[in-house]
Amino acid sequence: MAAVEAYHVSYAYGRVGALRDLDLVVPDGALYALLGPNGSGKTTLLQVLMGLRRPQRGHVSLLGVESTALTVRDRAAIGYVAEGQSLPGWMRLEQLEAYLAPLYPTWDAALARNLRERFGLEPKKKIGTLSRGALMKAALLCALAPRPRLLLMDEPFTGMDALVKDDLVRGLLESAGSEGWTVLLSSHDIGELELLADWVGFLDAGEMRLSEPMDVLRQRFQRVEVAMSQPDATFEGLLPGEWLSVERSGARMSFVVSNADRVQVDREIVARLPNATRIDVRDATLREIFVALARRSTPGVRQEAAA
Amino acid sequence: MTWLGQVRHIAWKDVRQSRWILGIYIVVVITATARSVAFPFAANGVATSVLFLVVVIGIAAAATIVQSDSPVRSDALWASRPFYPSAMLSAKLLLVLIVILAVPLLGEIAALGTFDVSRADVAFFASQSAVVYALWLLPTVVVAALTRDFRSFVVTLLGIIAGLLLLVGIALVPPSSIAIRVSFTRGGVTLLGTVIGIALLARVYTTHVAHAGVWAVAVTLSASALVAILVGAPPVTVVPGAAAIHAPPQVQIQVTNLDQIARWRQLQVAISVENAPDSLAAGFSTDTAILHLRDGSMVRIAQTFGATTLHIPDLPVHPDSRWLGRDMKTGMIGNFGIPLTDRDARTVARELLAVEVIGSLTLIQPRVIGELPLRAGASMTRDGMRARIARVDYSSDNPTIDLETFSVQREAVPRIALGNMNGLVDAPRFSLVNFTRREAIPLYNRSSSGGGDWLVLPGAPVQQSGARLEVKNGAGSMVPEDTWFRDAKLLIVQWIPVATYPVRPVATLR
Repeated sequence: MAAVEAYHVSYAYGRVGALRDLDLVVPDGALYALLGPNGSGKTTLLQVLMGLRRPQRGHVSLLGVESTALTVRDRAAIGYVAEGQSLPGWMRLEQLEAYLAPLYPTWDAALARNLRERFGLEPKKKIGTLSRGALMKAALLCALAPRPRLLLMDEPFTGMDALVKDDLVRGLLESAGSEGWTVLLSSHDIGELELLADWVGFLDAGEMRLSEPMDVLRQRFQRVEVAMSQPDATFEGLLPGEWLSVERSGARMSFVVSNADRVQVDREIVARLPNATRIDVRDATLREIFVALARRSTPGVRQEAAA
Repeated sequence: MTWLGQVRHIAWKDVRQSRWILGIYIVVVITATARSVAFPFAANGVATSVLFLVVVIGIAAAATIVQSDSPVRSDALWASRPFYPSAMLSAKLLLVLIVILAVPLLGEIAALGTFDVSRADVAFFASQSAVVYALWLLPTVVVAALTRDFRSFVVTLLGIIAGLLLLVGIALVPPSSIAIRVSFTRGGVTLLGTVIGIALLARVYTTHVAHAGVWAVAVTLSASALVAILVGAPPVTVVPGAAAIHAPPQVQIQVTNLDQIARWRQLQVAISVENAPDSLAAGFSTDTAILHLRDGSMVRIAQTFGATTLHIPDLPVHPDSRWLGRDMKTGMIGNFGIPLTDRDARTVARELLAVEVIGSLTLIQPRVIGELPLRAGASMTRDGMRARIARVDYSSDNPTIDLETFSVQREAVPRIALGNMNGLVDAPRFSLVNFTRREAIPLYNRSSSGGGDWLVLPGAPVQQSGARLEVKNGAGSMVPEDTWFRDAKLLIVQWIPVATYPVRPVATLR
C-alpha cells in the first residue's frame, strides 16, 4: 500500500487552476522530495493531501484512508508542518507540547526533549518571541514527537542555518530509516533534498512532470560538458530541443540531457560543434535536473540560456 | 483523548489564551452590574459607555475565542492535528455561552433583583436580554469563523451593519414597516438563526471551506439577526380579558363633518363611552372602518388610525382627600379621523349611509406604587421602579420637585391601544398629598430627560429619566403655603390595564 495516493486531482482558486489532473503516489517508507518553482502548486498539493482544501476533482488517500474521511486516530498517525506554520505565540514551548501531547497516543516525550535539545530550543521561551528558524524547529518538533507514520512537510528548512539543517536532515534520515516513516517534503533547498530523498517529484504549473526514484532519475539525467578549441557562435538557434539548461562560457559549453543515448549525444555534438575538443558526461545533480526542468517549462528562458 | 476531553482541553486553552480580554470583560460586566445595582442614577453618558463596553468587548472576546483556532486558515495548528472538529466548535460555543453570555446575564438578573419585580418578570426580562445579546453574538461567531484575522472580522461585521443600514436608508424602507414584517419573528430569528448558524459552522469546521455560498448564508444570517435587533422587541400582547366586574361599556359614534368630507378627505368621528367607571382611563383604538353607501356597496378601510384617549381619571389619593383647584369630572368622549382617498371622499360625501368602526376599547386603572417623603434624597423601590427625589424647592412661587426614576416595566397593553394616550402607561403620574390635611395637588411634568437604558445587557426595556415636577398649571393654579409641603408626600402612580373589549359601533346617517 502506498502511503500517499492522489489521482486526477484538480484544484483551482476561483478561475486560476493550481493543480491540474495531478497524480501522485508516495510509496510506504519513501523519503519523497517534492520540487517545483514558486507558484507551481506544492503548498496547495500538501494542503489538499491533508484535507485542508477539498479538491474540485480527484481522490486523495493517506495511509489508505480518503483524506476527507480521516478520523482523529488516522490524523494522530500523520505529522504535518505547514509553510510558515502558525503556532500559538502566547504559549511557551513546554505548554505547546503539553497541549498537543494528550492528543497523540504515540507522543514520545523523550524524543521531544531530545529534539528540543538538538534544535537548541528553550522550553520556557514564549513561541511568539522565537525567530523564524526557531519557529520552524518548534513546528518540526511538534510534528516529529508523536512518531508519525507519515510526515508531510512544506518548506521545512526555511529560515534554518546550515548546521541545524544538516542536523535535521540527519535526524530525519535516521528516524525515517529506523522507524519506517514515510516522509513527503517540499523544499527549494535542493542540496539538502539530494542527501535526503530517495524519491523525487517535479511539480510545475499544477502538473506533475515527473515522479520517480532518485537513483533512476540520476541515471536518466546527465550533465554534458563540451570543451572547444575556440568560441563558436555559428550554432546559435540550432541546438536540439533535448539539450536542457544550455550554458556557454567562452570555449566551454554545458547542458543536461535526459534518457540520452551516449553515442547519439556524441554524434550530435560533433555535428553541431565542429570545434569540440573534449566531451565529459556525468550524472546530473538534483539541482541541475531541477533547473533544467524549470527552465524548459518557462517560456523564453531557453533562448536566454542558450545566449 | 475522548471527545469530551477535547472540549475541556480546548476550552481551558482558550481561557488561558484569551485571559486578558476575558478578564477585562468580566471587570466591565461587574462595573455595569454595580452601576445598575448601586448607582442607578449615575450620569447617563458614563453609564451608557460602560454598558456599551460590555457589548463591544463581549463581541471582541467572542471573536478572539473563535479565531484562536480559525476553521478557515489552512495554516491553523488545530486543522492538521487530531482534533474532532465538532469538539473544537463545541468548545468555542460553550465558552461564548458560559463566559460571554451567561456571566453578564447573571449580572442582569442580580440587577433586576433590586427592582422589586416578580420572579416571572425577572425571567421575562432576562430572557429578553439573553435573546438580544445572542442576536449580537450569533453574527459575531459566524463572521469570526469565516474571516482569517481580527481586522477582517471587524471590517466584515461593520460592513454588514453599514450595508444593512444603507439598504434601509436607500431603499426608503420605513423602519416601521420592517418592524411589522419582522417583529413577530424575533424569537424565531434567534432560534432558527442559531440552528442554521451552528449547522453552517459545523460544515466550515469540518471542510475548512468558506466559499461564496457559505458567505451568502452567513451574511443573510447576520443581517437577519441585526434586523431583529434593530426593530426591537415586539409589543408584549398581554391583552387583559374583559373583566367580569364591569358590564361591557356601550360605545357610540357619530360623524361630525358630514358637510366637509370631500374637502377634508376624511371622516371626523366623535366617540363616547357609557357604562364605564369614571375611576378608569379609557382608550379606543381603531382597526377597520366600513363605510356603507346608499347603493348597497361598501368602502372598507382596513388600517389602524391610531388610538384615542377618551378619559383620564383623577389620580387615586387617600380616601376622603380632596383635590386643591382641580375638577376632573369629564365624560368619556373623544374624536378620531378616518382618512379617505380623493375618489372615496367624493363618493362617500354623496352616498354615505352608515359608518361602522371595528376596534377595541381598553380600560386602564391608576394604581399607587408608593409615596416618598418630600425631601431630597428620599428614595423607594417598588414594582420595577426605583425613584429618588434629587431636589425639592417649595420656597418659590412655583414649587418644583426633581425626581429621578430608573424603571423596568413590562408593557402590559398592546402599544396600538395606547398610542395616543400621552404615554399614560409608559410614564408614571405624580401628585402631592398632605395626609394630615387630607388634601392633594396634582403635579405637572414640565421637563424630562433620559430615555431607554440597559442594566447590564441590551434587551430589557429599562427607562432612566429625570423629571421636573411643578405644582403650577397655568395662571389660576392654586399653590399652598410652605407649611403645606412640609407634611406632604409625593405619590407615584402607575397605570394598570384592566380590560380590553372588542367593539363595533355603528353610526347611521339620517
